[in-house]
Amino acid sequence: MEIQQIKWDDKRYPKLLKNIKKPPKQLYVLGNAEILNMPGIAIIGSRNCTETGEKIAKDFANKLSSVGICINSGMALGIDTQAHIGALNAGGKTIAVLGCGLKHIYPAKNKELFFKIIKNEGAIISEYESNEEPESKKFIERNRIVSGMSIGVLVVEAAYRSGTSITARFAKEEGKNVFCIPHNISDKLGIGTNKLLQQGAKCVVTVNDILKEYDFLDNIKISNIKNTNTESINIEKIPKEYIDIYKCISDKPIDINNICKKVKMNINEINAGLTVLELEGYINKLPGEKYIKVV
Amino acid sequence: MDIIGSKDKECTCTPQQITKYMGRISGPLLDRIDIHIEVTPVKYEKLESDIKPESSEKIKERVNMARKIQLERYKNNRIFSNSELTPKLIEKYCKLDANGKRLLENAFKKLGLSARAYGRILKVSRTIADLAGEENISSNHIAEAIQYRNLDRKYWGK
Repeated sequence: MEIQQIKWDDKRYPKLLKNIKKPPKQLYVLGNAEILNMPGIAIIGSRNCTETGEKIAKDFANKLSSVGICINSGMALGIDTQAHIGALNAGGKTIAVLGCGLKHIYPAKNKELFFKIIKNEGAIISEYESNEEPESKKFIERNRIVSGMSIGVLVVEAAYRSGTSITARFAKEEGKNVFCIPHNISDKLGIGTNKLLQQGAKCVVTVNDILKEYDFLDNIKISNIKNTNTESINIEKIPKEYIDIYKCISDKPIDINNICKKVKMNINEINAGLTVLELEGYINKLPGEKYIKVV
Repeated sequence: MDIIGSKDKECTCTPQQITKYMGRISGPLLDRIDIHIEVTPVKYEKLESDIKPESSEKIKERVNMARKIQLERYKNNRIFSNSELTPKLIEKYCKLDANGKRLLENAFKKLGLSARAYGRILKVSRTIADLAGEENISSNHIAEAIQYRNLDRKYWGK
């Protein structure tokens, strides 16, 4: 695998990036350098995110990339990771911008994702020489590239004063669309997003809320939106005896005690049902004996 | 005290800290524990709720029944309970039907269970079937047993 160097005057250098305050002089790229000028939306958010946030990131990435938008993010744990995965699941393009040289895989936990992005004709990029170590100040600098090369930024979850808020600030200063998922005011991870909304970011509930802003782009076909994460779930296929269990599981994690209260079944039957539903891919199990619906 | 997975108290640890904490107990050690269940803190109101759980006396009856079944079944094998089953005896006494086999195979693929977990699940399934007074292990018993192997799962590797 060879690291390509894309200089300022290379036609593959992202045009949008040239307009920011301090554009990088060159970019180092692993993977597909031809996609750097694709229309891209950055999906960003906290590392320490909620399960609901992960799902939203994955789902939006999935749908946006299925209409031909490239998903840009920072390959950090949490929201970033899910954004890349969502795009890959849709067979779409995704770009990860790292805050270190490309010889480092940071965070190491995303090694598999790193190679998956390259294999699926996405790109891993960085402005740093290949052997430069990851450093916290570089992550902030990296964020300006994530927003700089995108036509808009979607903030899924952000705590008060976070790296995510910094990226959103960059986008705002560059005059780009900042999209935010609204949160309950008591959510800690909603403080940053709600604040951005107060400052004029666009409140986003569905993917169409984002696409509406870009209807001038020819190659983006709103009608193409489809959910490719999983085949749409066919409720009729769920074993009859477990349908009641399935019905009380939603997008919000529910714990087993509450399932027991809602469903008039014995705990052993419920346990058996949960295993079957999980193995068949209808639900996911989360820490704390909690369950969440798959898409 | 902050606990990952708790509903009421927010966990303030970083993902790295959580991974490290989970890694304190090694996989091979967990493999040797038959049942792991996660319990969440109980709120005061729930302690005095009027839902009547099964009484311990009744549970004792069922347990004694299951013990008797096992004593009878293993009288020629010089063991007393399911927990003592050797791999050979597991093969003999924990036979699965086609449904059960398919379910277990699926679980191994999807949940990343270890080979040691295999024997544990079969033994626990055998016990669940005994508690229900049933001679054969059904796929429901297997499914329930899989539910009791919480910590083997790749929670953090997603």
